[in-house]
Amino acid sequence: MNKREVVEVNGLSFVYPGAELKAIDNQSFEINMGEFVLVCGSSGSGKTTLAKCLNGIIPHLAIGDMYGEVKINGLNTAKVEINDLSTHIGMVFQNPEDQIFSIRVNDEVALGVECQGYKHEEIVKRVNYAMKKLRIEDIANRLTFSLSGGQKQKVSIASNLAIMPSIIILDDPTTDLDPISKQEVMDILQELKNEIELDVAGSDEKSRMTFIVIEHELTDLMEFTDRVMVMHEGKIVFNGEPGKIFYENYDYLDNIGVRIPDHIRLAKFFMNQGLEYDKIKYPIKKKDVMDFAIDVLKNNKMSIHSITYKDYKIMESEKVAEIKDLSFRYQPLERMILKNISFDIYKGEFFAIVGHNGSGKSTLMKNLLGILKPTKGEVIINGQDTKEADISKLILDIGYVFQNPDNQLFCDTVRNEIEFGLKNNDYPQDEIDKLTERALDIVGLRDRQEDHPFALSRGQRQRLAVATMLVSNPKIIMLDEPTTGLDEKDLQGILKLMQELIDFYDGTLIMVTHDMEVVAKYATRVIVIDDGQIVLNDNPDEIFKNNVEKLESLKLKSTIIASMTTKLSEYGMPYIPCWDFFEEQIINKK
Amino acid sequence: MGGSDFSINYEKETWMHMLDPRSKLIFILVFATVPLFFTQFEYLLACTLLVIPIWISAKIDIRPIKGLLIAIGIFAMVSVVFSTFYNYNIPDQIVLFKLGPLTATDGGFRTGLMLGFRASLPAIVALILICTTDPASLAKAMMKMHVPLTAAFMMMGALKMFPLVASEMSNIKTAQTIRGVKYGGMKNNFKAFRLAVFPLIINCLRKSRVTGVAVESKGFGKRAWNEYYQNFKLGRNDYLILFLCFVFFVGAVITRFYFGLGVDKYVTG
Repeated sequence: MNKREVVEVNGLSFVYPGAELKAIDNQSFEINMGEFVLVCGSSGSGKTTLAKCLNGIIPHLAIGDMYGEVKINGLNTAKVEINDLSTHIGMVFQNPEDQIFSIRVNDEVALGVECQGYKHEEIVKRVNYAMKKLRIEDIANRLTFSLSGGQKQKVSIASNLAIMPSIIILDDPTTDLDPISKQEVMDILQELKNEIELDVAGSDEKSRMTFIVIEHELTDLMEFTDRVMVMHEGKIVFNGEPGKIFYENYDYLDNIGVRIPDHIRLAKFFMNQGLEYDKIKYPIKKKDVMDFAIDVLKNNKMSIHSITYKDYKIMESEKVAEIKDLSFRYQPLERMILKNISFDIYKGEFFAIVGHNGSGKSTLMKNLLGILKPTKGEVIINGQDTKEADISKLILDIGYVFQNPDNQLFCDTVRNEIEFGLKNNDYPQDEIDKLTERALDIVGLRDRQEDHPFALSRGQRQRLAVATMLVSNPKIIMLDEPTTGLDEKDLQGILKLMQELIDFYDGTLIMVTHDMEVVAKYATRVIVIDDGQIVLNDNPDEIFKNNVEKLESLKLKSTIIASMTTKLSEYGMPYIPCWDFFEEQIINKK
Repeated sequence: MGGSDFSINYEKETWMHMLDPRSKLIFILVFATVPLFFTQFEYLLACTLLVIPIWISAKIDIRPIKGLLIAIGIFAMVSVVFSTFYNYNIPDQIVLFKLGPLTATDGGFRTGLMLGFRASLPAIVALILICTTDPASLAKAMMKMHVPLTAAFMMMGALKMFPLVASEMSNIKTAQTIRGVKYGGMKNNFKAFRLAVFPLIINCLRKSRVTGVAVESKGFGKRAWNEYYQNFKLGRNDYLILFLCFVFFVGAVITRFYFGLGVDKYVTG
C-alpha cells in the first residue's frame, strides 16, 4: 500500500435486507492522508452508508450484505473489530443529541480516550488538548443537556479528536444548527484541517489529519475542501477537484438535487454570459466570486436590468392570531422565556419565526398552539383566548407539523393515520372518505395508503404528517423546523404544498425555522426572536437587506446571495433575496 | 416533562450528588438487600422512613420522575390488592371481608404490604442514584469495582434510557393532544397510552441504537479501560456513608438472625 493512502475501497457494494437496489454499488476509490474530502449528493444516495462502511459499523453492527473490501490504514474493516478501528477512524454523527453519552462535557470528551486504555495523565492531556482546539474549555464542567446544538456538536468532535485517529468522518454535522453555529463548526473544521499534526506510524514524518465530511449545505465547506465526491443512487458519479466538478457538471448536479452554493451559481451565470474570471478558472471561494462580480459590474461587462420586487403589503382584513404583551415562564420564580411579545397574524400570511437555537421560538409556537398558557398577556387564536379555551376546541382549526414526524404518527396504516383526526372529531363516514382521498392525492401517498407509516421514507413520513393536519382544512398550519432531515426535493415539495394551501384554501402558515433560504423564498413576514423578545418584525426583503450586521449579532445570517448583492449594491447590483428570485427576475427575463 | 428537564436533578451539588458512584452502588445494594430480611410491616416501614431524609437532603425534584414514582406506587398497590385476596393458606389468618367469591385475609394483606415495600424500596433508592449520578461515571465506577464490562454497559444503557423515554413520551403526548387524543379517565388514558407505545418504542430504539453505535465506534467494547479522566477517590462523606451502610446492614442482620425480630408469622415471605 502507498504509505499516504489512509482509505482504500475496492469494489464496495452494500445492500440492506429486503432492498431491491444496492445502497452502495461496486465503488472503488482511495483517500490520502491529510486530505479534506467532501461527500455530497441527494438524500438516499448512499452517503451515510458509505461512512458506515468506512468506520466499520458496516459490516460489524449493521444488517445487510457487504461485498468488496475497505481498508483503513491497511486494516481490512471486515476482519478487524470495530473497537480496534476506533484508534484509526472517528465518526461524528448527524444529531448531537443522540451521540452524547455523558452528563458532563469533560467526561464526554474523555470517553473515547478512556476506552483506548491510556493512563490518567495521558487522558487528561488529550482531553485538555481537544477542548482547547474546539474552544470549549469554558464549558468543560457544564451539563451536556444544557448546551446549544452547536456546542454539543463541538463536544462530539472534541470527543473524537481526543482519540487522535488519523481520520474523522462527520455525517451531516450541521443540519440542526442555527447559521452562526454552523459557521462556528465550519471554522473549527478549517482550523483543524490546517493545524492538527499526527505522527506517521513507522516514520519520523508528521501528517495532517484526514477529514471526510458528509454535508448537503456546501457554501462554507467549499472554501477549504480539497476534494469532492458526489454520490447518486449508490454510485460516486464525480470525484475530484471541487471547482472542476461544480462548474463542469453544474446542470447535472442541479438536476440530482445537490444544493449548489449561491455564489457558485452567480459565477456560473456570469460564465454563461461569456465572461471569464482572469485569476482562477473556476472560482470556489466567496471572496473570489465577489471579486469576479465586482470586475463584471465595475467594468460594465454586463448590465443588469431593473427588477420587480414582491409586494409584501399585508391584507389587514382578518386577524387569525393576536398576541398581546405575551410573557411566559415554565415555573414560578424562574426567568421569563418570552418577554412582552406583541404581534398580529393576518389571514393568508406565510409567517416565519426565526431566531438562533434557544431564543424562544418553539416556546412561542407552543403558546400560539395553546399547549402552553401565557404567564402574562394574552394569545387569541381564531378569536379564542388560549387561556380560557379548551385545547381540544383550539386545535380544531390548527394543524401542527412537528420537526420529527415520528412523534405524531401512531396508527397502523397511512389511511388510518389521515382518518384519525376526522374520526376523533365525529365527522360522518362519507365526509371522512372524501377528505382522506383528497389528502392522499395532495401529498402523493395514494399508492402507500395501506402501508404502515413507519415503513415510509423520512420525506414520505413528513408528507404524511402534513396530510394528517391539512385533511380537516385548518385555518392555520404551523410548521416546526420543516427543513430538518429533508433533502432539497422533499423540502420543496412540502413548501410548495403549503404555498398552495395559502393560495387556494385561504389558509395561514406559521413556520419556525432558521433556514434563511426558505424564509427569503416563501415568507411574507418575518419576526426575529432573541432572548425571548421580538427584535425585528418586517418583510423578508427589509430584514435581509437592511440588517446584515444585526442578524449576525443574533447568530443568524442572510442568504449568501442577499448578503453578496447587498455588498455589490455600490456597483449597481440590485438586491436579490434568494437564488430563485434571481432566476425569475434576471436569468429567465434575459 | 422532557428529557432535558430530567437533568434538573443532575445540576445540584448536594452531598449525595458529590458521593463517589461506588458508595452510591453500595448504598443501593444495602437498601435492596435489607428489606429481604424482614417480613414484618413495621420493620419495612422503618427502612422506608430511613430513605426519606436521604431523599430530601439530596434535594431531588420529583417533577421529572413523577411518572416513575406513580408507576412504583401503582405496582405496590397492585401487590397489596392481589395478595389481600390471594389464599396463602396461612394458619389462624383472620378474614377481613368477602367480595363475591373473593376473600380478603389479614395474612394476604400483610403479605401484600411486604411485597409492596420490598419492590418499591429498592426502586425508590435506585431513583436517587438515577437522579444524582452520571451514567458514564457509574459505569466507570462499576468497572473499577471489577464488574464485567457487559454488565456495566447494560447498566449505563438502562440509565440513559430514563431521560430518553421521558423526553419521547413528552413529545408524543404533545403530538397526541394536538391531534385530538383525549386524556383523563382510565379509558382515555389507556387508549392514549396504547397509541403511544409503538412510536415510543421505535423512537427510543432508533435513538438508543445511534448512541450505542456512537459509543461502540469510540472503542467502548475494546475492553481496554484502565484509568479514567476523573480521579475516583473516596472522600470523607463516602467513608461516612459506607460506615453507616455497614452499621445498618450488620444491625439488620443481628436484629433478624440473632434476635429473630422482624418476622411476621402471618406473612408468607
